[in-house]
Amino acid sequence: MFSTSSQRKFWTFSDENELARLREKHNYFFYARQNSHIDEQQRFTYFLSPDEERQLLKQYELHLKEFCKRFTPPMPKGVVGTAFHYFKRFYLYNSTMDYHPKEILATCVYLACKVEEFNVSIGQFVANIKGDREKASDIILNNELLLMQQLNYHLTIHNPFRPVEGFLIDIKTRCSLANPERLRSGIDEFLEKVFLTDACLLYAPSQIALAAVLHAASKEQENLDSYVTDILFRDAGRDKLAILIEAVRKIRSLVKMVEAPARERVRLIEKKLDKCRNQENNPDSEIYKRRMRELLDEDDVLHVGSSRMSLDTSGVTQVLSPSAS
Amino acid sequence: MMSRPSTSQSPPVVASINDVSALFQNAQKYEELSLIGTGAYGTVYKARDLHNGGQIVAMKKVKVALTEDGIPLSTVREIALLRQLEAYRHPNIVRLLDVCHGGQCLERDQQLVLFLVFEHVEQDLDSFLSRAPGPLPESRIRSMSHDIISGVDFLHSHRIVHRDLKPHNLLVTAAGRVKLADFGLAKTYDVEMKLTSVVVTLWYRPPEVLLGARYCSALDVWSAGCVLAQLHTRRPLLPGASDSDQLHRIFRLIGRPPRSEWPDNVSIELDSFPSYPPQDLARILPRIHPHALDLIKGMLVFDPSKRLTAMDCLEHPYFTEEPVA
Ligand SMILES: Nc1ncnc2c1ncn2[C@@H]1O[C@H](COP(=O)(O)OP(=O)(O)OP(=O)(O)O)[C@@H](O)[C@H]1O
Ligand SMILES: [Mg+2]
Repeated sequence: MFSTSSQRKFWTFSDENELARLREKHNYFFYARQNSHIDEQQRFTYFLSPDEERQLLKQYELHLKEFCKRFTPPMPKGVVGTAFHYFKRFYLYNSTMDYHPKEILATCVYLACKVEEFNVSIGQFVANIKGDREKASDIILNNELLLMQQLNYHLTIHNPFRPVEGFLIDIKTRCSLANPERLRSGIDEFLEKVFLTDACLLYAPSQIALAAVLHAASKEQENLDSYVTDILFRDAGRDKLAILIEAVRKIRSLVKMVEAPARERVRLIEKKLDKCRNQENNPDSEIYKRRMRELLDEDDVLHVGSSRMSLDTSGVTQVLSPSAS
Repeated sequence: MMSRPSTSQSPPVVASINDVSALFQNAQKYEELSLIGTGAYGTVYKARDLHNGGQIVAMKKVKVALTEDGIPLSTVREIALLRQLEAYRHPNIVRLLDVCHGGQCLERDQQLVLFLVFEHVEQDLDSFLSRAPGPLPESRIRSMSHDIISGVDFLHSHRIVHRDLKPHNLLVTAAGRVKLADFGLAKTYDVEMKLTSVVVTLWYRPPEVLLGARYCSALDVWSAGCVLAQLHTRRPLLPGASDSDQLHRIFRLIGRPPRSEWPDNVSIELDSFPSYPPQDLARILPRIHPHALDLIKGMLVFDPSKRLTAMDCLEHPYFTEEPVA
C-alpha cells in the first residue's frame, strides 16, 4: 500500500523546488569537496552546473528507456518503472560528477530485475549490452551494493501500472464509456513519457495513473470528468478533489513539456564531465590507479589475478563509452 | 541513439573504494558497546547510534554469500520486504531502524556483511520467563499471548512465515509488550543453518516440519501455541532431545493422528509410533483459564489445515470476552 509506504514517507517530495534544492546541494558539495583552486565565480567553467547535470541525466533517462525497450527477454513494465525510480532517487543525493550515469544506469535496471522478480542471470543481462560483457557485469555487480545503500535499502517501488488496471476495471463497471480497452495505447504512451519527468518523485502512483487515464480519454475525444467527480471521488470531499485535480493537471503539463536535450549540448557536457569527474572514481586516472595499487598492497589476501579485480582497462573505454556509438 | 546501456569503463574494483569509505561511514554512525547474543544466523551487538542522540540500538550482523549474480535474489527481496513492512510500524514487530553494510571487498571469500539495526529491547522472552519470580498474572499472560498472535497475524497478512518462533526470538519491552524479532532474512540461511553445528531448538517445531512434509503459515501457529503454553508454566511444553523424541513427545501429548491425516510422501511411517492416546492438556497446564486452554488446544492440532489461523486466534473468546490489556 502506497499510503503506508517508504516511498511516500521518504521519496515523495513536496514540490519541484525541493528537488532542485537537493540537486543543487549535491552539485555544490561535489565542488566544495574538491578543494579546487577554481574560485566560485569560475566554478562552472570547469565543473558541471546543476542545469548541465539535469540535461545529462535527461539524456541518460532516454538511454535507460531504450535499453529496457530492447531488452530480451521482454521486460515487464514494472521493472522499467522501478529502474527509473532508482535512477532518479540516486541522483537526488549524488552528483553525476561523482558517479557517472553510465555506471549507475545498468545497475539500476539489474537491481530492478531482482526486486521485481524478473529472473535474469547476470549473463543473460549483459547479453543485452554491446561491448565487453565481462567488464560490464563486473561493473554492475560491484555497483549493486552502492546503489542499494544510496537508496537506503528502500527497494520496494509502487508503480502506476496497478492503479491503472484498477481504474480500467472500475470504468468498465461503473462508467458508460464504450470499449475502455481502447484507452490502453494512450495510457502506455503517457506512462512511458511520465518516467522522463519528475512526476514519480512528486505524486502518488494513483494520481499518475489517473492522469494517464484522463489523457488517454481526451485523446479518444472522450470526457471522463463527470465519472471522476460524481462516481470515482463522490465521497472524497471538495478539498481532496481539488488537490487531485491540481495534481492531475500538473502531471499532464510535466508530460507535455518532455523533450530530448539537444545532442550537441549533451556532447559538450560529456566532454566537460570527462575532465571534472571525481578522478578517484575514474579508472583511467593516475590517482585512481595509485589508490588501487595501495589498496591491493595493503590487502594481501585480495586475489589480484582474478578477472574481477583486473586493473587492465586498456581498450575498454572505446567499447563502452556511449559517445563512441 | 545508442542501443545498449551505457556502462562504465571502470574496472570492477571501483566499488571497493566506495565500500571502504562506506565502511568508515557506518563505523562512525554506530558505536559498538557489547555483544548481546550469537545465534545460528548471526551476531547481535548492543550499540549506540551516534547520530540520533546516542540512542541504544541492537545491531544484527548477518553474512551473505555472494553468488555469480551478485547479491542473492532472496536477500534483495527480503531487505525490500523488511523495509516495506517497517513502514507499517506494527506494535508487535521490532522496529528496523536502519540497514547498512560492512563492505564487500574486505570479506575474503565473496561475502557481504549486512547490519540490520533494530530498536533495542530490554530482554527476550526466554530471560523474562527465567527471571520471573513466580507464575505470571493471568492478565499479563493474556496480553502477552495477544501480542504474540497479533504479530504473527501481521506477518501472515503479508504472506510471511516466521518459521522460527520461540522465546529467544520474542522480545519483551520494559512496559511488558512482546515484539517479534528475527524474521525475514533468516530464510536466506535455512540451508546453512541445518549444516551448522549450532543446536537449533526443536521444541517449537510442528510435526509437519519434523516429518519433512509441506508446511505453510500454520507452522507459526503451532510454535506460538507452544510459547503460549510456556507463558503459563514458565517451562517449555515439549522439550525434545532429538527429532524423533520431539515427535514422540508431540504424539504423547495430542495423540497419534489418524492414518487419514498422515501426510503423503514422508519417509517416516505412522506405525513407527505407538498409538498414543491424547492427553488432557489441562493436567499439564493446571489452573489455566478454560478459554486459554481451548485456544492452545486449537493451535496444537496435528493437521495444519485444521489448526486455527492467527486470525481465528485473535477472534477467540479468550481475547474477545474480556478486554485485553
Ligand atoms: N532488538 C533487540 N534488542 C535486544 N536484544 C535483541 C534484539 N534482537 C535480538 N536480540 C537478542 O539477540 C539474540 C539473538 O538475536 P536473533 O534471534 O535476531 O539472532 P539469531 O542469530 O537468529 O539467533 P537464534 O538462532 O538464537 O534465533 C536474541 O535471542 C535476543 O536475546
Ligand atoms: Mg533468533
